[in-house]
Amino acid sequence: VNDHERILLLAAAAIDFPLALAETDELEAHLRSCTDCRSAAARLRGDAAQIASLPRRRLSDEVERRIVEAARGARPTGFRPSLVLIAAALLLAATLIGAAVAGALLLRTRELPFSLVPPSARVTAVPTSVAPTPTSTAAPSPTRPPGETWQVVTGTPSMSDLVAGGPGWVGVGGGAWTSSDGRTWTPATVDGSDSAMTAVAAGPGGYVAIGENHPTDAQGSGQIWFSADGLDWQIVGSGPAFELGPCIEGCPSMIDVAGGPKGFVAFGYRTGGATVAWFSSDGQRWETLPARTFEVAGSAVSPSGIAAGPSGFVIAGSIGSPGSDGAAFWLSPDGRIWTHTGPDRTTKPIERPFAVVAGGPGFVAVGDCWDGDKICGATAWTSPDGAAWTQRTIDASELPAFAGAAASDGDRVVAFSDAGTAVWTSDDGLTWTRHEVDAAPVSVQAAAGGDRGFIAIGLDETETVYSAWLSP
Amino acid sequence: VDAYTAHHEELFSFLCSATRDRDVAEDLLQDLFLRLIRQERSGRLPDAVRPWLYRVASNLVIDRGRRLASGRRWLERLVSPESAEPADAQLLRREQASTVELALEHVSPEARVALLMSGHGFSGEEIAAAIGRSHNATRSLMSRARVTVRQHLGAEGAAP
Repeated sequence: VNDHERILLLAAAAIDFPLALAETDELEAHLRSCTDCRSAAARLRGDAAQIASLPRRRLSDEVERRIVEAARGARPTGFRPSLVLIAAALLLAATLIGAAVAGALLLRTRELPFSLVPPSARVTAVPTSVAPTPTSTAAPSPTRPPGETWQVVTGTPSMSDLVAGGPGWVGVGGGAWTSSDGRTWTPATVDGSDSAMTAVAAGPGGYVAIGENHPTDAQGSGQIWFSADGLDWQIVGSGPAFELGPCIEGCPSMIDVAGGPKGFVAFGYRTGGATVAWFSSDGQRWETLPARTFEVAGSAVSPSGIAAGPSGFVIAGSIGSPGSDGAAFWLSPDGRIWTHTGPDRTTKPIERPFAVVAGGPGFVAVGDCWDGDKICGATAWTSPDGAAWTQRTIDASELPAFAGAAASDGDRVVAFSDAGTAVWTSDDGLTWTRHEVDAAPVSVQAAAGGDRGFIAIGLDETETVYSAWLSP
Repeated sequence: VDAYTAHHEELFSFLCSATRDRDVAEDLLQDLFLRLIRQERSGRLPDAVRPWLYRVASNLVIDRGRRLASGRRWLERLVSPESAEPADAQLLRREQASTVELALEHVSPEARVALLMSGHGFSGEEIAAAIGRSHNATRSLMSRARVTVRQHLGAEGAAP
């Protein structure tokens, strides 16, 4: 950065932040003597004024009606699936649950092998088989299996992924952190200060994180970092082989990474949605996998998660176009050669996995089911080897449960709703137990499991403070 | 309802500019106000509603750009030949965006949210709190983003 560029950054910073006295003096002195910089600074202020005067948009009458209806107490109708349907259903459920589950009843567990009842029935007619356990989320019982009692720790960094390792946990987001207990987080040293990490994995010799460096590069370059210990991260993948393309109505993204005995596999989307993937045997030297590695008969593909297990790597995602798409899985024993392992079903209702983990019988994927108009339930898939998959869909009356994150400690799998009041556990991937947790995480962004139990990072009940949920 | 009446238009405009997608903005606005309703009904109505709304709206936009939403986000963007939006419709839609909004597409969702919040009258410190970054990180993010936007405005010949 030369003097003129630095002055331009100072002039830009001055629009939003008070400068230090020395910075102000330096800026003013430079602008007095540099006509070009003076003009450039004025243009920056002009841009800010343009942003401030962007035209107001008018909301459609239909959406306005739904919101006002909800605010006045009626259950809104006609909401789109995704975040809104989840939130609407959650609103209703939270109200009812709040009335029924008062006082010290902080967690309730019930076996629900995919025969779920509507939220209203769940609250107003608690079956006798339910044994309310006054286990405080503030003092998890060590006798209960992991994933069933949770303790919240408010005020953590905002993370987009976690993995068991380092002193206990390694997390990434707008930086990297380590923690021995999930409560206190120590920032790591990260090469590339303007980059954001999106996912992390443990594998041979250390840890790999993936992310992008959009703040300094409008071309949306992907980046890969390696760390032997989770404390010091060096960029090992950047440049032309990792270019993702420009941001056009959204930025291309690095999506996920997994590490196993054979190495690491990372993948992302280029502008326009084409999948690009990389392999490394040691996490430090990377090769780009051939284009069309994941293509299926010319269909659009959309991988959404990757896991590594004893039989190799598995990617879960979707194939087809919106409205005629369906779940898809790919398997690779070595991370380089990939096979589409189905299922090929692309009829309605549409089931789409959002996350896959190694656990249960081998691999477990979780996602939702969409009938073209609304979310019709949560869906789980299991496979012993990544080749043959079994699918189960939860009753349509239940909230979509698995739209958020999933984690495994190798045996047991936990899953979280996107804005949930509940945590789900399963030992086989097909039979799930729903645990209603007081002050459950909202918008879970990251989750991991390991020898120390489970951890999830999300927003707290105020929707504003990032917090950790720990289940020893 | 009062909060909705007072703030929905500016927040919808903010979300439209931040996501560059009217449908997504409608989704997020509904989600945003349902979260506010949930706060109100649970007795946790924030003291300062407008900053809370922008903070949560920022989180929704930024989180949407992060990993967990990526699969669905891109899935919804993928178009098959039979359902593809005609090229002239895409062109028309893009022309409806102002030049500065097109330039804002060249920065990350986080930076775009920050610059738009600035345009809605929030200070750098308030923006830092909303996006969950430190003072220095937010200052660096925003100043670099402003320079990037300027470069693209200049390249497109739309400088004021």
